[in-house]
Parts: sequence; C-alpha cells; structure tokens
Amino acid sequence: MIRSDRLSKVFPSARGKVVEAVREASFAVQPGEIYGLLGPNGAGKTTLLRMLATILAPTSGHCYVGDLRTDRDPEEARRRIGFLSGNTRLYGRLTPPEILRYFGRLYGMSSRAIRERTEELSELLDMREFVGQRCETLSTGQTQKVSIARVLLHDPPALILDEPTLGLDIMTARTILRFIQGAKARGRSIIFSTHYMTEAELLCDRIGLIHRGTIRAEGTLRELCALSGADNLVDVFLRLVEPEENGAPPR
Amino acid sequence: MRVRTVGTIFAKEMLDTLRDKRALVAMLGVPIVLYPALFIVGIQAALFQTNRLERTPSTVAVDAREVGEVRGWIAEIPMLKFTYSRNAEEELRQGKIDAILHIESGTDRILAEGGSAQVIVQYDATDAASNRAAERIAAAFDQKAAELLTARLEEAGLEPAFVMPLVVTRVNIASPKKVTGSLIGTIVPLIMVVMVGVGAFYPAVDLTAGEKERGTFETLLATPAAKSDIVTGKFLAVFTLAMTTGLLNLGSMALTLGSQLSQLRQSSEVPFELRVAPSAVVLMVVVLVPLAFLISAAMMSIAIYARNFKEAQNYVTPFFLLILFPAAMSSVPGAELTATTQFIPIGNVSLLFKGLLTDTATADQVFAVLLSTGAYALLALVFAAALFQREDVVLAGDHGVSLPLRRCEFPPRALPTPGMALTAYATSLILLFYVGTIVQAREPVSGILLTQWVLVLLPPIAIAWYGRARMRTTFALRLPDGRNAIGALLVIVSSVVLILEFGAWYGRAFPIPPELQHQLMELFDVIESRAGLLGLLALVALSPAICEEALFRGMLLSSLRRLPIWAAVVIVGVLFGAMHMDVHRFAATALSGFILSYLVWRSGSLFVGILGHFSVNASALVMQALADQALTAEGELSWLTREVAMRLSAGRDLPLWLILSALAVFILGVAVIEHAAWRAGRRAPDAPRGVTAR
Repeated sequence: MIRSDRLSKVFPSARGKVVEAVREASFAVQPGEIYGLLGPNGAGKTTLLRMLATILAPTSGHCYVGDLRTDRDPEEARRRIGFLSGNTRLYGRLTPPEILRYFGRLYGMSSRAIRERTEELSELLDMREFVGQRCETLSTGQTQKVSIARVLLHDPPALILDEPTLGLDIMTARTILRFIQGAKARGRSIIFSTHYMTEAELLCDRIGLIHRGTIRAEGTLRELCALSGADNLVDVFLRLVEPEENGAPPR
Repeated sequence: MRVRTVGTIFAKEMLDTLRDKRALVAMLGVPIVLYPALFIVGIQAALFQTNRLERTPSTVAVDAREVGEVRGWIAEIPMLKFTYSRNAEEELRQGKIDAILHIESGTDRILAEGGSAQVIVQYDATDAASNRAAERIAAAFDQKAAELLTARLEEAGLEPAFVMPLVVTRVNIASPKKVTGSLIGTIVPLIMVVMVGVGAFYPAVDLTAGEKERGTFETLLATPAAKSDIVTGKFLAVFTLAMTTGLLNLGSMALTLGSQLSQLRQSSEVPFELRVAPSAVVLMVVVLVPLAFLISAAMMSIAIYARNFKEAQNYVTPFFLLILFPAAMSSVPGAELTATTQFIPIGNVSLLFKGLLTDTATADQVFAVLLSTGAYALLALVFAAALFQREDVVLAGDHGVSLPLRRCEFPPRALPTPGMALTAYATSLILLFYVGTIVQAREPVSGILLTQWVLVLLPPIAIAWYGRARMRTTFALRLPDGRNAIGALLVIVSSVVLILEFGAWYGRAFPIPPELQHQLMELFDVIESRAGLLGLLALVALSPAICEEALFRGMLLSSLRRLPIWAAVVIVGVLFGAMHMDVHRFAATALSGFILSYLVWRSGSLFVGILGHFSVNASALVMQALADQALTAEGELSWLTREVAMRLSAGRDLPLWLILSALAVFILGVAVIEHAAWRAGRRAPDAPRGVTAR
C-alpha cells in the first residue's frame, strides 16, 4: 500500500518568494490497485511522485509504503518502491544487463537473483535482440523496456510510474501497459500518471485529478463522471480544470 | 556506510569512465603518449642541433691589417673558416657569416713593445652558430694571451704568481644527484599537480554535472543507496583516476627523463645524474595521495553545483588555474618549506616534492604537509558530501542553487553527524596552523589559552549549535554511573604509569631532537616563572583537558556512535595524535587518545575524559618538577617518588614491578567497565550507553 498524508512541498524561488508546488495532497493506493494521477503540465504531479519516491523531502506531511513512514527509513522505503519517470534515465555507456546488475546490487540483491531476474525480464520484455548493445544506441522504446526492467527487477510492492508510455509507439506502449496490469494482478500497489486519457480509462481503478498542486477530485471513472456531469474522462478533466484557467475561482 | 554499495558505485563509475574515449584521451593520452613524445622530440632536436654545430666550422670575416705573424697563428685556429667580406656587418646580420674578427692594426709592434692590442669579436647573441663562433675565437685568443703572458713574465724574470696575487677557486659541493634534483625539482612538482588536476578534472565533472545533465541522477537517487554512499563511491572513482594519472605521469616522466638525461649528460658541462632515492619515490607517491584526494574532492564539490557539463567546466577551469599558482611555488628561487609555507594548500606539496628530489626534506616536513593537506582534503570532501545532501543541488532544475547552507535547513538532532565533526576538526586544525603557531610564538601564556579556548573549543561548539545538535548529548555532559566511574578511575591511574613508561621507551627508540626538547622545556620554564607550578598545571594540563576533550571525546566521538567501538576509538585516537602536529609525540598522544576514547565511549561521560586527560598531562609535568626537586632537595621526597622521577628524567624504564601492577590494575579497570557494559547490553541491546535515539 502507498499512502500520502497531507503532503506539501514548498520551493524557495527568487527574492525570498516561495512556490507551493503541492498542497496537502492525501490519497491511498491499495495492493492490487492502479491509481491514476492526471493533471495538466506543471500541476505538481512530478513533485508529488518524487516525494513518494523519497527523492524530495516533503515540506510537511508524510508518505507511507506499507506501514513504513518513508522519512523514518528512506533507504528501506526505496527498497520497497520501483520509481520510473522521465528523469530516471539510463547510463548510455552501459549495456542493459550491466545496468540491471548495477541497480540489482544497489537494491541489495544477490548476484544469482539478479541473473535469474534479468533472464526472466529479458524474455518477457523481448529485450534479447539488443541485450549486448550500449544504451546510448537503443531506440526510445527499447530504452523504456530496459527502464521497466530496472523498476521491476527487485519486484517491489509499490510502483510509481510517471508517464511510462510517453513517446512510445503503440506496440511498445501495449507491452508496457500489459506489464502494469500483470503487476496489479500480482498484488502490487501502482501509481500511474499519464496524459493519455484512454490509457487512464483502460487501466486505472481510481483516478485523482491534480491541478495547481491540489487534488481536486478523486474516484472511479464512473464517480468522476457523475461528479462533473460529463460522460468521458476528457470532459471530466476539462470541466475541472478549465473554469480556473478562464479566471473563475476554484470550486 | 555500506561497503558493498560504495564498491558497486565505484566499480560502475570506473567502468563508465573507462568506456569514455574523451576521458581516456585526457587521462592516459597526455601522460603516456603526448608528453614523452614532446620531451623526446625536444631533447633529440636539441642534441642534433648541438652536434651539427660542433661539426660545422664557423665562417669568420677577418679585419686585420699590418698584424704580421699574428695572421699566421689565427689561420691555425681549429674549426674556423676565414673569408673576406666588403659588407661584413650586414652579412653577419643576415646570418651569412658567423662572426667578424677585428684585430688592431700594428698588433705585431704593440706586442713587441709590451703593450695591449685590441681584439674585437662581433657576433649575434641570438644565433647559436654565431655564439659558437665567438666562443671558438675567444677560447683560442685566451690561450694565446696566456702564452704571451708567460713569455713576458719569463723575460722579466718574474714568477707566474706575480700576476695572480689571489687565486679564487669555486668548489661545488652539490652532488650531481642534487644538481639534477634541483633542476628537475623546479618543474616536476608543477607538472605533477597539473597532471593530477587533469586526471581529476574530467571524472569530477562527468560524475556529477554530467550525470545530472544525462538525467541518470534521479535513477540513482531512487535506489536504497544512501547519498553519503553515492558521494563516497563517486569520490573514490575520481580519486582513483586522479591518482592513476598522477602515477602514470610520475612513471612516464622518470622513464623519459632517465633515458634522455643520459644522452644529454655527454654534451653538457653540468654533471647530470638522475638518481632519486627509492625512499623519496615512495614518499612522493605517499604525498600524491592527499594531493589527489584534495584536488578530487574540491573539483567534485565545485562541479556538483553546475546544472550541466559545460557549466561545470566553466566553474572548475578557474579553480584549476588558481591551483597552478601555489603549484608553481617550487620554481620560485629560494622558496622552501618553512613553518608557514608548509601549510599552504598545494604549494606545500609542490615544495615538498622539490625537497624530496633534492634530498633536503625532513620527516617533520613530510608529516606537516601530509597532515595539513589531509585536513584540507577532508574539508573539501565533507563539503562535497554536504552538497549531495541538498535536493536543490542534486536535482538542480531551472532555478539556480543558493550557496549558503542555512541553519534552518538542518534538522535538530541528538548527535552531530560525522561531517559536522570532521568540519570542526579540520577547522580547528587549520586555525592551529595559521593562528595558533603565531600567537603562541608571540606570548606563550595568553597564546596557549587563546589556542585552547578559542581555536580548539569554539569550532565544535559553534558547529554543534549551527548544525542544531543537542549540546548535552553531543558533548556527553552527564556523570558516569558508579561502576563506570570506578572502572575509569582504575584505568586512569594505571594508564598514567603505562603512558609514562611508554614515553620513556619511545623516547629511547626514536629520540626527540634535543633542540625540540629544549624548546619545550624552555616554554614550560617561562610559563612556570610567570604563573607558578599550579599555573603551569592549569595551562598545560587542565585547559587542554577540557577543550581538547570537548572536541575529540565530545563532538568527534559522538558523531561516530553508529560505528563499532573499536573503529571509533581508533579513528578518534589517530586524529587526536595527528592534532598535536608533532611526529615525535604522535605515538604517545594517539595511545592516550585510544584509552580516553574508550573510557568516554563506555561511560558516556565527557568528565571521565577530562579527568583522564588532565591526569596524563599533569603526571608528565609533575614528574619533571619532581626530578628537578630530587636533584636539589633529597630528604623531602619518598624513595619511590624520587626513584620514578629520576628514572623518567633519565629516560630509563620504570621498575618492572610497578609496570606489572599498573598493567594488572588497567586490566581490572577494563574488566569492571566491560562487565557494566555487558549488563547494560542485556537490559537494552543495541543502545550504546548515554545515547538516546539518533
């Protein structure tokens, strides 16, 4: 389970002013559940996910992975999390197996476990054809497969995936979405952020809409539709976000 | 710190860097290929040119009228080819001829009359062939002049001594080895610093700013690896690469110089001999370690500020240029290691290299340079590690990075971090170098007080305050419980005897230079004459006991509470010994450092450390005073006191029975303490005594 308890993050900016990137965000993701985080660019998604992954320290509030409060033992918390975002890239001069070995060791896995898991994931993700190449020579899709393998390598109970299908072709995106569904079936708690509404509709059990640092609405697709009087996620999204963009006060 | 994590990160960074062609060219290409090649080509070209000049006769235009038989013997001067020219000066300027020889007309007559004839050689000092021609002519005429002089003296019936009332002979006592050493000693240190810098530059930038730019830093931060482990692993990689480049250079330079100098020797008047003592080579490698450590840590902490590779290069390049100034100190004539220059970062290493090459460096200098460079390096590393802890630095996005580490950014804590403690230590050490030595030389009493209470005590207190570490726990301000107090008393009393004995033995094995001993005694006398024995005790025993204990057994030891006891005791003991900045006292102070650290660790009370420290310092002073007294007034002292004092002042061993009983008491004391610790451990496993949560 991943839980966020009134998380806030304030960044200092020029001339002593502060930017409130995330304000009092609370939600919980149960095992075997996919929670979608939707919001326009700059809404605070990445900051929120970085806090959950303990890469950023919250200004206030707490995160939990299972029963562990992440700031009490961030190293153990990171062991239980697989984190993927546009900013978690791979070492260009290493080959995929070398990368997996490196991260496997950092996650405290034994050499044998790393080897077996690498074999397994290479098979499942269809990575065999480029296994001997350095990452700098791989295509976007191939690189993303290696990144997914890196996230799943130590088989963490919690997955935090920030736009995992960004810029991928349909085939690769499908492979990766299948993997996420597979992880769900094995009881993992998954947070998933995307800009593709169809993906969210297809995949997510519940969806949180974040805008200007706060979670504005949360629920299943049907609940959100009922709440906003729209019949698809795109309209739900637009109705929640647009009034404000046009200057109306937030509801 | 997890060794496996650090090792994994280190191994990956090494692999990653070694696969990078740009890095390899910078690190290996320069020392192995470029610079021996330049050197060989340079020396061979010079040799070739010299040989060619030697073999080619000089063309000389002669302006000599009515000179009689002089014309005959100038024709016999070897390696000269005479020519006639209407426009000789112009031709000399154009390099068509090498020199013009003017001989005064009527030289024959002038010589016969016993006068002086003018001989003028015109040449072009910027042209090698012309120089050679002038030398050949001058040498031949000098010889002829000597012959003429001898003939005249004979004719006048005078001894040759008549024209040489004083004979001056200059004798060079420098061995060929030293001559070579001082020649290469001016330039080699600079090259070494440059090469270590070149070796550290690329990886320091690539592993920090480069990793940020490539977007892989966040991947690494998402793993369970602690930031301190990441920075350590990366630092070790940068350090290894800098060290490797430095060593490759040392090796390549030795090989190139060795093979080339032997060729140069044949054609030079200066006797060359490149033979550096093996011990000096070992020391140079040893000094290279803190140098590479310092440069790597400093470059890393600068580069981490940058958002990308290019920006980092812009930051690190000025730093690199800046360190070239002190690095060039070895080429300043007359610059050598002194009490001040031995603490100048980089400059001291440069001068020490020179000293080692010329065989003039002393053990004290090696120690001081190692110690001060180590202190600077430590500060730089702590700074780099502190920067890695800051998310705005590590994730530096669009908004820039602000420099100060504000107090409010530190979370309150019960115990200081090792970084805070090492900062306090390094700060105190550097203040001692620059301020302590000066104020103590000026005025011993106030100098020692200032050194202790300001330079030693203030940094840990200030840093503990700034880092928001709780004072009571940081400085272990609590009383020991009964068992620990008893055990500690036993250990302290016996340690006093054992350390005195150790000092006597050590002083025999490695004698202190008499002038150093004398200096110290004189200092004590000055203090005693002004403040009395009690004053001396307060100044040399009590005041250091309080201030040094606060730094070492307070801050440093507290910061290491997560380590096993033996590791903490060894680290604090060695740092304590090093702080005394005296190679002769290192062993004895480190030994007392071990014992005091052990006592404070177990009892959780700084007061135990203060008492122990005071006892050890005071005993040495009291023994000295007693020895003086024993020499003058015999009756007043008991037999044992006199015996001990006399033996110690003569540097002899204490009576065996006294040593053995002290040893027994010591073991008993340790047993009491360990028993108490064992009982406490059964009640609350894993919790070191006197320490609440982190």
